[in-house]
Amino acid sequence: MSSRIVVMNDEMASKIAAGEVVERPASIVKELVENALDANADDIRVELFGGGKAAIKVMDNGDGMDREDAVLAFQRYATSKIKTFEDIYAIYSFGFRGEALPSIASISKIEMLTRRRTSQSGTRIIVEAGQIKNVIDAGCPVGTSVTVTDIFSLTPVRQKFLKKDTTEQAHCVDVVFRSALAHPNVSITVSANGKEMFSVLKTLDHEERIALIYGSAMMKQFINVETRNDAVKLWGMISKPSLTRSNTKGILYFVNGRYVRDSLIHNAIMTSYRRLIEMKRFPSVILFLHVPPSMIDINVHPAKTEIRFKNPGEIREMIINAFSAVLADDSMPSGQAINRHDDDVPSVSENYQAGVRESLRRYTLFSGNKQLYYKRTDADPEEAHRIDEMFAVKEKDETGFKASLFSSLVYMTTIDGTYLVFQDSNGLVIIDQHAAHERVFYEKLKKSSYLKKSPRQELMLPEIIDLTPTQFLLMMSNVNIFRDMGFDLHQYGDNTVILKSVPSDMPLTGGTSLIHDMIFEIESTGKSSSIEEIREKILVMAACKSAVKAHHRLSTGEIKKLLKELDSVPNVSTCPHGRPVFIRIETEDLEKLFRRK
Amino acid sequence: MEFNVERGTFLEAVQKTLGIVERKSTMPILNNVLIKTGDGQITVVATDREVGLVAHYNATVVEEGGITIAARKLFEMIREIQGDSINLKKLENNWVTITCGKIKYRLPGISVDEFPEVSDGDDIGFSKIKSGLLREMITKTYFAISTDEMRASLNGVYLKIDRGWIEMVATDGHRLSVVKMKLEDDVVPDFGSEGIIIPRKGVGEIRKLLEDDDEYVQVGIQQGVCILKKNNTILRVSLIDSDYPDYEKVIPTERGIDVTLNKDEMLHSLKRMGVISSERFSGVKIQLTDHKMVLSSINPDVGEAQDELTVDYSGKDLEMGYNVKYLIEAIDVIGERDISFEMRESHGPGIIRSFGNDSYKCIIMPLRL
Repeated sequence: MSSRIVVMNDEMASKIAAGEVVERPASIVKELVENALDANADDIRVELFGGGKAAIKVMDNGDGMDREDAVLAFQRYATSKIKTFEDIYAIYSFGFRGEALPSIASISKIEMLTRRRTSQSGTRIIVEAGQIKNVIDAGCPVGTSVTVTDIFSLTPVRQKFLKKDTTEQAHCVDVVFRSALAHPNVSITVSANGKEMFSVLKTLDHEERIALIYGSAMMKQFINVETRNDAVKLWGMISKPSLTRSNTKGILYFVNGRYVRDSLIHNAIMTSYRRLIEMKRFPSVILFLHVPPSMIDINVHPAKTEIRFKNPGEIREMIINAFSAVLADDSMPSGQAINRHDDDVPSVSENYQAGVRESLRRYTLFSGNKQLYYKRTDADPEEAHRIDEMFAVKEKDETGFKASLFSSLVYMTTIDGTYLVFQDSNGLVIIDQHAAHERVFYEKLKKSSYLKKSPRQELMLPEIIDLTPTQFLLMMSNVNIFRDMGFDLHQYGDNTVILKSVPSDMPLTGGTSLIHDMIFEIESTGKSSSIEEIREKILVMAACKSAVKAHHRLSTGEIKKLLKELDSVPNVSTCPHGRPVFIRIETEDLEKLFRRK
Repeated sequence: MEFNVERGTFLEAVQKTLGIVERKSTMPILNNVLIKTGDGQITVVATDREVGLVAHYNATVVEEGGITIAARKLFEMIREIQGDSINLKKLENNWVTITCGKIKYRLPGISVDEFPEVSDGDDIGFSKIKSGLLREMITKTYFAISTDEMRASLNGVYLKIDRGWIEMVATDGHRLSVVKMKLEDDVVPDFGSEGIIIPRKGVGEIRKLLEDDDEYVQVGIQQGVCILKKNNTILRVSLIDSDYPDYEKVIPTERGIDVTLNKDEMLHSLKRMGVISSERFSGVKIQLTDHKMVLSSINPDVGEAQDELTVDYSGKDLEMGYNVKYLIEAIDVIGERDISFEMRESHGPGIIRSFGNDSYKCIIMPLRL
């Protein structure tokens, strides 16, 4: 009987293995760009043909290789980046497994031209299906240039699963875009079918690079965040709560310059924005973490987009603390973010300035007329939509209010019993009375429960509340939070609790319905919430239930009181659900609307 | 349709409907008052479908008919008219003119056909209750009616009659006010063993009806509607169809620590405390020591207040907290000179009553400060 398990031959194994690294053209671009960066290049050009499916060419001006190395580079597990196993704990380079080139080579045809700075002539290598076909001396500039063609021609299955040219191209551009963000001191250009798609000049630092890519108008919507401890350094530009988008694509974070996707970091970011932005809206975040290599494991996923931290709690806390600190400071004057690229900056040399201006004009994602550069490609409408969405921003009003500004507003009228209209010296201010009251109430409740001093009104007829078994368990495990707030709850029977007291500042709304709503909210948003989250949810619910509703006319006295209270409240720009509390229409806006300007 | 009516009568007739007609209704007809002619009189009808009012007034009818007119505007027009007699006439397409001497208003009305039916000829047994008695009971309970719409049964007063005693109760879950009085007459209204719950708005309208203390009001119940008749007016109030909570079990049976106080002294002292109270800090701390009652309030946002009353008390020290508003409202409705304030240790309920009289009790749950 012949054995049914056979060892695969190398060729077959390599094709399968390559799949882990080389999934689509964008993976090739990623590996090649990373190689270029590892080779200390400061000028990288990427050329895509047929969306990266037909051919990819990556040129750099890096260290290059001599003939011997160039040949070795195509052998699996050949790498210049680590030499002993211990080195893996000190990786600052992108590659280290020695898999990139052989993997790419196994599924395509590669032509590599490379020359070291010290060598007279360069080397040209042609590799097909993983086999070196030709190695000759050739004249070429310093650095390495890799041309990949016949991509996936040997793995027809994978080729079948590739998306349309435009989709694959967008993925490739994304890769370059992210590399550009992470490496400010490298000039990066990407073109598709000979047309320039994206290009950035060398810049001094991240801040400048971000400004160059995003544009100065967008920069005004960003806040700088920076912190460090003994080992970890954190730096980033994060959007103000007033700027949100419908997806997470604006959230980019890099660990040691490497773009990663990590639920821990993502979760920490979203936690920081919780209660500041609406549900299902997301901030824009560009975050760089510098962590000693010994504290992370990047060898989790072949594409190295996942990461493990040795001390996840510390990282999470660091992000939340740093973000919360800058986000809470809502009175931060707008426009404080860098305007370094404004035309009137004298310290920058003319030449450089002109270059920046040109780059801005051509590549800024958010120029004045909101023309997105992606639209210049021949992308089909569906794809264009996807990209538009990716960069779509939702701008809300600036929160340039300073203390005691609300109470100085002059009340004009109420629209639809909901929107209070005010006038001040700069124009109109419209306040959503429910959202405003909700925020005020939320802050009050937060204070009262944090101080645990809310007086408790004993109930004459204790309310008996029936719960589902799940709700009951949830209730009993959180009963102390409710008690702190003034809801004196006790077990009464199977799946039943009895409510004996309510917070004294709670208007006379039914305790039962309030408890029901709160427990339902906790239940539907997940049981694993931390104590703080549950407490916050309860507060938000309670605030919402207690706040004055829309279509309820407020007296002038009540409006005055509301304004006064708004002045004393932090995070005034949004209600606890993240909806805006007020919007401003400045005189200038009106003039624009009436085409006077 | 056309009639002449004395201005003062008409003004009063329309004014009485203002509490009932809706201010902003999705049904415009409910903003209107119905006026129809009868034998030497006009009938004015208003309803919000929960509370209905039918009243008859003397008038000189020129031509029979009926019309509905926006109540609030009609009231303002009559109010601004100077003169003794007003002529109201329906024209084509439901337009109406209101004339008084040289003054003339012309306004559109809505056809009577669209107005909800409000019955005025009920063939049921009525019993009479003294107006003053019913009004006093309402005054002493009205403030404790709950505003929590989630608990419908508490949005009104509970009324029951048992062996010649009439009892009215209101509670919002924090305090409970109960008045029990002896009926004079042998024939008493039958509210059934379950009693009835009259909604807040209806209670308010009933109170307006009970102006004269010594007059009697006829009361009857029919199909979930409480009907009150007085002189020329019939008020129909749809009752809340719900079970009233078993309030009797929250009224303590054994006596707590009782102190007698001068009503005005105590009320003024509480109002002094109330000055610094707010939504969040509404409490007053009451400390009983030897012959002394110390009242104090602390509001971190406003400040502090303290007052002291001399009381005839020599028991052990006691310290309790209450919502100052609840105490004020409970004491304010008492007519007698002295009140009794009964407190309990370990967060048991407090009771306010007039001294030596158990007819009115307001049970107030304490506040844990």
